[in-house]
Amino acid sequence: MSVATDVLRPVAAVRLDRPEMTPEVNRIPRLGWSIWAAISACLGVLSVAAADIQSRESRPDTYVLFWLGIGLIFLPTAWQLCRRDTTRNERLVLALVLGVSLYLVKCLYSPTAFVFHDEFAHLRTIINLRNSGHLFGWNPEIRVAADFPGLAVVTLSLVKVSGLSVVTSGMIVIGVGRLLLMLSVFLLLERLTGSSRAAGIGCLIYAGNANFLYWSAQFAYESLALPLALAVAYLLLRRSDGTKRELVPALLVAAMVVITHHLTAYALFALLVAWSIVVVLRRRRGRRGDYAPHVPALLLGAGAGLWLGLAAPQTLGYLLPVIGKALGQGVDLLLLRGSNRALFANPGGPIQPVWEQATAIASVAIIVVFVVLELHGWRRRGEHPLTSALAWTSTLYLLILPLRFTIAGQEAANRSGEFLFVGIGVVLATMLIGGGTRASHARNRGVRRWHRVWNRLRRVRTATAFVACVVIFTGGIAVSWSYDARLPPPPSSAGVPTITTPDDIAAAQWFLGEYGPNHRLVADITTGLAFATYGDQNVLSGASDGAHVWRIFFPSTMTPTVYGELVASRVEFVFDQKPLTESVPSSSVTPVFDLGEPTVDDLRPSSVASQAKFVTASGFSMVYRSATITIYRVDQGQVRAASGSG
Amino acid sequence: MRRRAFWPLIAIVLAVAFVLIPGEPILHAVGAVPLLLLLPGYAVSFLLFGPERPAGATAVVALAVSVAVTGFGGFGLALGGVLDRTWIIAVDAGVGTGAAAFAAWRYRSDLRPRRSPGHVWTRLLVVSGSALGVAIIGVAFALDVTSARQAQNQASVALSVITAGDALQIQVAAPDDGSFSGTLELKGTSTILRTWTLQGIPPGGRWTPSGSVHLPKNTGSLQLVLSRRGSRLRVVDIAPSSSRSGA
Repeated sequence: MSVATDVLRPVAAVRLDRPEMTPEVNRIPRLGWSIWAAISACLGVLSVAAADIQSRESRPDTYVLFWLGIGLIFLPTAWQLCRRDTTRNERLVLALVLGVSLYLVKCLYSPTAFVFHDEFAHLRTIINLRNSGHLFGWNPEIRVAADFPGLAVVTLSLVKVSGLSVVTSGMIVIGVGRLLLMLSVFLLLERLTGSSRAAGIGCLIYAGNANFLYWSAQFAYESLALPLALAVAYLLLRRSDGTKRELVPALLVAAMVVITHHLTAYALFALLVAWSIVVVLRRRRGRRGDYAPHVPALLLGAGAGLWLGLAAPQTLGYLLPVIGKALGQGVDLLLLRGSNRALFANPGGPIQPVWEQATAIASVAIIVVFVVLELHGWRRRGEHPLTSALAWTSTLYLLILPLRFTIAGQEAANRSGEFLFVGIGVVLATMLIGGGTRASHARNRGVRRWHRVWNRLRRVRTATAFVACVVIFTGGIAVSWSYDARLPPPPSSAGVPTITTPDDIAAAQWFLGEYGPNHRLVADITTGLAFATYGDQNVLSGASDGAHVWRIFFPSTMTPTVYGELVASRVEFVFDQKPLTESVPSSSVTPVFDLGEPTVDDLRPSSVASQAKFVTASGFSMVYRSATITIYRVDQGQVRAASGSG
Repeated sequence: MRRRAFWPLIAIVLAVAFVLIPGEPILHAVGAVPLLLLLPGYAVSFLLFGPERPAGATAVVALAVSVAVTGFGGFGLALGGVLDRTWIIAVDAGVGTGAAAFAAWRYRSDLRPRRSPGHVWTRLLVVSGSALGVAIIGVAFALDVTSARQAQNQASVALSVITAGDALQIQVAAPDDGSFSGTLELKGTSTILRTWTLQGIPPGGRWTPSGSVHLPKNTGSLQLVLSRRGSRLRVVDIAPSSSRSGA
């Protein structure tokens, strides 16, 4: 290999850690600290388990135990990862311990059943595949979930070979994904920054994305696809060193991403294209040694396009309205037509503590400052093209940030976190521990001065990095899940359930035993999840059936509209949740019945009359009534007659 | 000196042996997880990198390729309508064994010295620390699973009460995964009007009172209470007879 090529491949040579500062591997006292940090993480998991148990029993102080557990998991590990004299292997293991411990927090939330919304959709895909043996079955919860069967196939394979339950197998599969995620993020950042310390800090920052604790740990296709995509990026990064051995496994894994999750496949494709563009631009400036992932990008794009066209044509119909609505509300915001969402608002739920709100704002501020500094010329010459591509993706964070002030954009902003935080991790980690090493290359004079000051403050850099990581991580949790939904509710909690309760599951199993599968029924979204999976029923929705479910539930009397909707949607059963009349739904369970329902109706309890109308309605007969759920059988003949359409 | 290239082959044979032992669910799980989610990729990493593998890349390839092999294998089997246990084991073990055997042949003469075992105190510290950590996690899960099961069992029994005129249609359904025994009481404002003892309703089974149940005239609010060992599991309110209407 020529000397020139070596010069053009500077990343491996950029060592932000000083080699003389890297101690011997077998020095016991320091290793002891890392082991204690890992044991502390385990104690943190125990503390979160205690919080969950107390929460199920409606005892007080669960909040303190939860944060104590999170602190025990994060703080010692973060300190060890930020320190200068921790060895590379310790950092790698600690990053894995951190990722897995935080994954266990989600597992402990509900260790015996899936309870989150999207988990039910994927559970339904598995049930369909197990019962029929055929792929692409009907999935009333998320229609496209069945079109991307990667997660379902892997999980069902494990179920069949191991004999474990679907829930346990699903947790193991996602756990393996979490391990792969942390491994890939660490190795990717280590390779890009040339520093295991920066990689460790990057992992801490990545863990600060709002979805890391719960959303990315739930049993859903993205939770498996994202680690696979990052593994592809890492393998292709190794390919850029000149070895070709990683190309075939990278393509195999990329193909797995294509059949597992739509957005992740498209995001990976976009990243490879951006990487290629950076390389092409650099080649114009005379740098010809960089590897450009044209071929993997082309194959991935072709694969994703073919899958979209042949196997999952409804994906665009699923994604575009969500994106369009978010963009529309974003444009409204920019045109000063006002925001339709207040930050930290939780109608119907408890108010988030002020310190959490303050930390959330501080975490966003830290990220914004560093990304803006990056834009102003902190960039180092000679960095890998993928570093440039990832650093530019971090600027998307700034662009998407205003969407948090809109209802539709809030979810998009939150969901983008797990993708964008890889770039944010690169930017912040590099700058926090040693971005000033090449300060003379900074284009802006002010930035150059800041670099020099920063370099003189080397001693406080570890503490600064630690504090920044703690604030970003804590802020990430604060803006992740609704404050009142972070711990499992008691089985007979008052108020509108924010997750599917055992009561719903018991009713769903009763229903399946009594009437068999695949009846057309209408219910609120949370109840419907249990009946679509444990009950194997066809829960009607606007997306899958064109139904307008709320038209049946909101009116106080049996109006022609109610009858018309019952006839048009060929409803066989109607389900009532009594708690909906007793309190205002939490913001985390709106919409209550389906997308598109009038927002004003979500801000108040349903009227008692709106549920009582079914008792005496023509064509309705009560078949089940528990403390919370009432089920009515609908005689379509009588309903048609009542509506005048028979 | 030793031949590391044979390790994945031995590991796959052991995993397959575990999952094929009849009637041992724990061993099936112990064998299945690495067989499906680790070993095919691990064997491929041997083939790619040889015995002197970079640890990080090996781990990434082992996990990611294993998931991809299991996913694509299962996808192909499902398309062919044969996604069953035997075929899944055959595909994963076949890919893993093929890669491992080829790697073993390719690096057959590549003998490497044993790695330095490291300082004995370091090893002791790592082993004891890991054991302590696993034990703590085990305790956390044991306690949490017990609590979650109790909560689930408490709520998994279904009680349905439908009023039709002055008649009550009562049904108790046991959970799908456990039998149920308990007490059902029909309560007035201050008195217990009727009590039923439910003995051993089988999993998924239904219980209804023998004979019809009629409500006394001019009663106030009534409650039907399902209890087990003194703790109330279900309470269903029944509206006063004056406001009651048949369904």
